[in-house]
Amino acid sequence: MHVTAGPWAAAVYLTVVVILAVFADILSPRDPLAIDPNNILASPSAENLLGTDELGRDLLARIIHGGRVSLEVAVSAIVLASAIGIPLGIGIAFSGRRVETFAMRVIDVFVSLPEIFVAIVILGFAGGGLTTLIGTIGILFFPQFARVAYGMARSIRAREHVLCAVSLGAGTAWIIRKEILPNMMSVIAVQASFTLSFAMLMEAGLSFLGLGVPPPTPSWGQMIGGLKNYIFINAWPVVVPSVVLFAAVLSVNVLGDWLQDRLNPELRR
Amino acid sequence: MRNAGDVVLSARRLVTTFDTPSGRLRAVDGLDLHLRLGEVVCLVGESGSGKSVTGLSLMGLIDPPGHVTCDEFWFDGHDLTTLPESEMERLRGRRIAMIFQEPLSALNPSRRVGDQIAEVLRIHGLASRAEATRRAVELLGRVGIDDAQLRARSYPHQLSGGQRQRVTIAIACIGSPRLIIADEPTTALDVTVQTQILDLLTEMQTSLGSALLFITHDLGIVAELADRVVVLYAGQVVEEAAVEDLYRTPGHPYTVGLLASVPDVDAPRKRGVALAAIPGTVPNLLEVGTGCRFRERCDRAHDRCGAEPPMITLSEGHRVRCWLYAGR
Repeated sequence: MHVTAGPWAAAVYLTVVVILAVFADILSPRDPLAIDPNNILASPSAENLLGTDELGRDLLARIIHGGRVSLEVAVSAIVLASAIGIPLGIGIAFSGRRVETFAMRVIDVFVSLPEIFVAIVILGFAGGGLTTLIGTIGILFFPQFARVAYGMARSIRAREHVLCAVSLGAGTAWIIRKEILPNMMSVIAVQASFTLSFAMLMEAGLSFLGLGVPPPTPSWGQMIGGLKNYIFINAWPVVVPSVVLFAAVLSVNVLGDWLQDRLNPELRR
Repeated sequence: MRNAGDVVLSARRLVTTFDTPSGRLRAVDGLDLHLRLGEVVCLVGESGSGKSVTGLSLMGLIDPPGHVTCDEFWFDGHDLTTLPESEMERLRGRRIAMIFQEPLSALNPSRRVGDQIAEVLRIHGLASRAEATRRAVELLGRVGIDDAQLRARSYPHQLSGGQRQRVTIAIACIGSPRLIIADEPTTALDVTVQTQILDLLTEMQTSLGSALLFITHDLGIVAELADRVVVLYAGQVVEEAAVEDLYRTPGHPYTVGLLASVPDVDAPRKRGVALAAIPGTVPNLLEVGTGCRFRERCDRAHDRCGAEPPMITLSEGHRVRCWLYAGR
């Protein structure tokens, strides 16, 4: 299969980000929390490769540790969203027509809620923190998985190999496990990759607003939120996490597109 | 005819209806069917005659908006008119199995064929995982797949059309069913492969001692395969006979027309003479009224054909639904 430069670059970038995030404790050049009042908002130097923030903390170290939080939140939220959404969608597809209509309308309501607003309300009441953040984003995104799983389950169920399995005595549980699930995984994978970029942006947005992980633990969005106030003193520090986040989201999207073309060529737009 | 064994399936007045927005459609209308162990019965009819729906009805695979009723419906000692779905589930794959027309769509594209054969035994808890896999590979060899051990690990798209149909035959046979329903299993295949598949099918059926209900529109296959033939027209049985009787003395004008429309390669070719064809098409099942359903297309139609024709027994096992034989 021919892979163009885009997906390659995206894959390399994300691999680097993931490796740095996972091994942050070993790979980080400095302590991300160490304050240096004599060296604040500095541009890159031999000492601080990406400069420093408003408290003189090393930006490279904070980017690396911040990536860990950003990825952890986004990935966990997607896992949570699919763990709720996929069984729910399949369950709805196999329920009666009335339940089906009602449940899908409820899901539609969930999808049409303004996400950031709901998140602000939940986090405002529950308070920030890693677990709440993951839970909130997971709940916001599960309806999308439910919808995709519902649609796929319905269409796969109408295929002849399912009828064939029924003709061999397979019950509903067996059909779901062996006929429906394996045949929807490629579409789910694509859905997950696109939702992942949304989850990363959502985490960044909430942290930017101060509703995410509480300081001093760094996350990309929170760094942008803090550093934006000093943009007229030194624009450099706020650019660093912004570009890193932008490139990460773009990479996830590019890879998602590539995955879409590869796994589901018939869905190509 | 091969020795006919015990009756394995007996259905009286099977009716399958579908509720459509434009009314209730009777896809199968009062079908009587009796199948004995060891015999091959061909269900013949053109598109829309209700052949496939009959097969699915016998398997209990008609879902709403479809609905099946039957005065009497016995299969292998079970009364299927009262049997709960959970019990029917236990019969499918173990006692009664079906082979579909298009093997590629009948197989699960994302699972290995060996697993799909073995899974029939797993569904019914008939064997351990290792034992099921072993028997699947063994059967794969028996249905004529070379390198069965290796091929069991293939996905359906990696096999040829003929190999795929061999796999679906293995899937249908691994539970040793008493009745195999094959719905046009060779229509999607090359002619050369067709013969091999038919041979394989009868070979498996003979070794299992089961009954085979073969659904087809191909009268060439019928002559080759059948012990008995049931001719279906617009959801009704119009003629039923042993295969020799049907070809020698076809009763119903529809059957006569069907047989005449088979090209005879041995006959001297006459220029400008078109193949015999029956004019018209099967009537819309929503619009059939009373009377013979074939009368619009029948060259021997008569006034009385406006009334429901009786089923008349011409000789032992040869029945015709036609006014031509009434009062003889």
